[in-house]
Amino acid sequence: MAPMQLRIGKLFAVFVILLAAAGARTFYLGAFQAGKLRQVADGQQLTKVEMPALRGAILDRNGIPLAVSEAGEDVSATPYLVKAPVAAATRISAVLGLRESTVEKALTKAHTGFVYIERGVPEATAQRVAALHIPGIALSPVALRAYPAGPLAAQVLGNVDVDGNGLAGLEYSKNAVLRGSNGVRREVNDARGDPISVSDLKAARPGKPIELTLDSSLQNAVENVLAAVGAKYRPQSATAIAMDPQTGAILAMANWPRVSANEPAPASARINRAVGMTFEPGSTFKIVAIGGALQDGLVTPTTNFYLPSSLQIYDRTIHDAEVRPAEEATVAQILAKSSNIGAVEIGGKLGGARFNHWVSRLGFGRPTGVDLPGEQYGIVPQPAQYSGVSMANLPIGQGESVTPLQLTSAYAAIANGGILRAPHIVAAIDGKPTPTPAGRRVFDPRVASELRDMLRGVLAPGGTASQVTIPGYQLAGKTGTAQEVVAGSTTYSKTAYDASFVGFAPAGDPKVLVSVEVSAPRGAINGGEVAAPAFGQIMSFALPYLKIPPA
Amino acid sequence: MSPSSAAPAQTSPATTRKAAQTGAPARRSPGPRRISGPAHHAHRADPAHPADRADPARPAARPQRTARPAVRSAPSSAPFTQHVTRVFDHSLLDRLIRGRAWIGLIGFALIGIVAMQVTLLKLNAGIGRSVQRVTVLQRQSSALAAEVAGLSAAERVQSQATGLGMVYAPPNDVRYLHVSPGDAARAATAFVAPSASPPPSSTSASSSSTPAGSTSASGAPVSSASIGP
Repeated sequence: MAPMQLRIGKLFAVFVILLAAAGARTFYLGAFQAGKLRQVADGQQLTKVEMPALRGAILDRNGIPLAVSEAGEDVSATPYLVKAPVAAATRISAVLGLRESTVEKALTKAHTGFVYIERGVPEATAQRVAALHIPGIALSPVALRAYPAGPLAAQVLGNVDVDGNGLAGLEYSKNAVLRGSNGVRREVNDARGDPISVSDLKAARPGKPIELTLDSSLQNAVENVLAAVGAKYRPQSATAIAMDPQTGAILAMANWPRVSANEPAPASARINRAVGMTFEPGSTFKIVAIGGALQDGLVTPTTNFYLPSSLQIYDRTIHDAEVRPAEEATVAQILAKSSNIGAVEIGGKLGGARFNHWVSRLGFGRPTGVDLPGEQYGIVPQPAQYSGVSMANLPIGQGESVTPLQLTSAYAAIANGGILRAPHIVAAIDGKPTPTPAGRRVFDPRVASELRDMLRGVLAPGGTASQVTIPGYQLAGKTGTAQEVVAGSTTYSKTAYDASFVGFAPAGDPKVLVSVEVSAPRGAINGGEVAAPAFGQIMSFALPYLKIPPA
Repeated sequence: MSPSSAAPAQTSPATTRKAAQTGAPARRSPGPRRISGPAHHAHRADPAHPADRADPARPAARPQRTARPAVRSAPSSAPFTQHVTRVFDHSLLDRLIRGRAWIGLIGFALIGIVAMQVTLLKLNAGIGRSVQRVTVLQRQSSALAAEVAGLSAAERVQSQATGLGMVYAPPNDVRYLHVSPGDAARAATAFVAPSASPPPSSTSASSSSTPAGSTSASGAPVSSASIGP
């Protein structure tokens, strides 16, 4: 064999050996180490990031945002990757405004590879944390909920938790619509961490916006009026509702004390008292007995009743609010002067069964059907539960509990000509208008008209709210004053009263209805003194604001 | 009649195929051959004819399957093969493969492939950066939208207006205009073409407008509330 051929042969043999070795190694890595190596490679190169969906905005009826979502980050740490936890804690706490010891405790947490330092950090602040370039500190995108108007309608809107789930209010009841769904993004990074490929495995689907019937300007005005009532009478709580009686659209729903939707608050302060609280309505409830008797043809507005100065029924003595001699009064005068004895006489004429029929007919004792969560049923005794004195106190609004919205809804039926309609607060979802709830007739138009006329007398001279006037406008309404039940007992408080007023304007063709309920005011207790002026202030703003001409 | 007793009377196609494979020379058909489809007999169906008689023991006559003649494709493939052979044997290709230009060509192609891969990677990275940029911009947009919402909050606007001395007019200070059927026509005729002269100042414009509170004989209220001092 020639030397040249020998060298070629040796070289060939070397190549064959090297090729065989490479093949064997390839087989080993591909067959036995594939899973492990793939896992390591994925860890180094692949990242799956959950892309948070922005929650749908809640807008008022003019498109002004009441709740919006904005970008934020969760700041987390992998403790064993943080080389100098003390120094890192100092730098991070300075940016996030946290206590240094809290951050240090998180960074030195043992037996864990993940710990949150702070959740829901605004984007700008999070970027300052990222700029620190501390190994082991990571940011995860999240959507934050913000309420630009602060405390405006906070109890109505509700709030969300750190994961973006609705906890209360509309945020809770409309969570499925508002929430959307998070996306998943797959990122392939090179050795320097720069993305080679970014693809959305699942696109984030933002939540749908909700448009309310609330008017933020009117809501603000109503809340300001309640704040003034709160400052003057220092009550336990107060709530007010403004409604379009023709459609049942809620234009404002305010609670006092105010809470900021952006700040933590006690659960009790977050209750929307307009639907989540019941109270004994007092004289505002007299329209049930009077309206029922009118509709049943038992009385007319001019029917005369003899009213003694006091009325004894079993062990109970009934008086009117003001001491007066025995007199005769028409049904209209009984309502205008809010005579307890007169209401009991009319209730007696109606009878327990028919009275209960009208209580139920006007929607008391069950939810109104408003699209808000946490609505109470109220407490309405059934005829079988009546005692001998039940018809001496039920017609004057004692012995039953209602929500402010139930009372408002019943008065709306009088204002709109006799149709009881479920109130509603959601006007549109994702731009699609929600249908106006169908109503049912509870009073003939004639009876509703007679009631409206009689309710004008409450604000006329001699009525219980005669001090409330708005020049150019005919007002109608009813005052209510009721003793509160002592918590945990069956007795009435001698000091705590509920003062209320429900009214509408213009009386001839009502366009806006306002109810005010003040719980346990101090310094004054009567609905005509505490709640009726608040009604007047709200109406003074609402009528020109809503462009309702005098009538 | 049982199937087993009928078997000897049949001529199995498998048997025929086997016979063809075991050495019987292929016999070329003298005439044009049928390609596919059911057999068409020249005669009409005749119950008296043995082939047309319904006999449950005898399967219906099947069309004879015959191998296609190999010569059918030969005229078209031969020139192609010759062309290919001619290309392989072409002197230009021969010179190219044997010469140094071939090395350069291969090198150029390899560099091109690598460059294409690098370009593709850069493109992917660019797309990735763009997607991330979109996300960042969307997040910035949401933050700005929240800021705008805060600035347009009713309470803030009202407090700012109050600070500037503005108040909501009391209900009795608001006047509503009423329209009559002829008002629209009068308004239409009152329109004049804009002149080249500068517009009047706001003071003169307001002084020339219809005074608030003027009403016509009938009609619905049309104007909105005015804001007073």
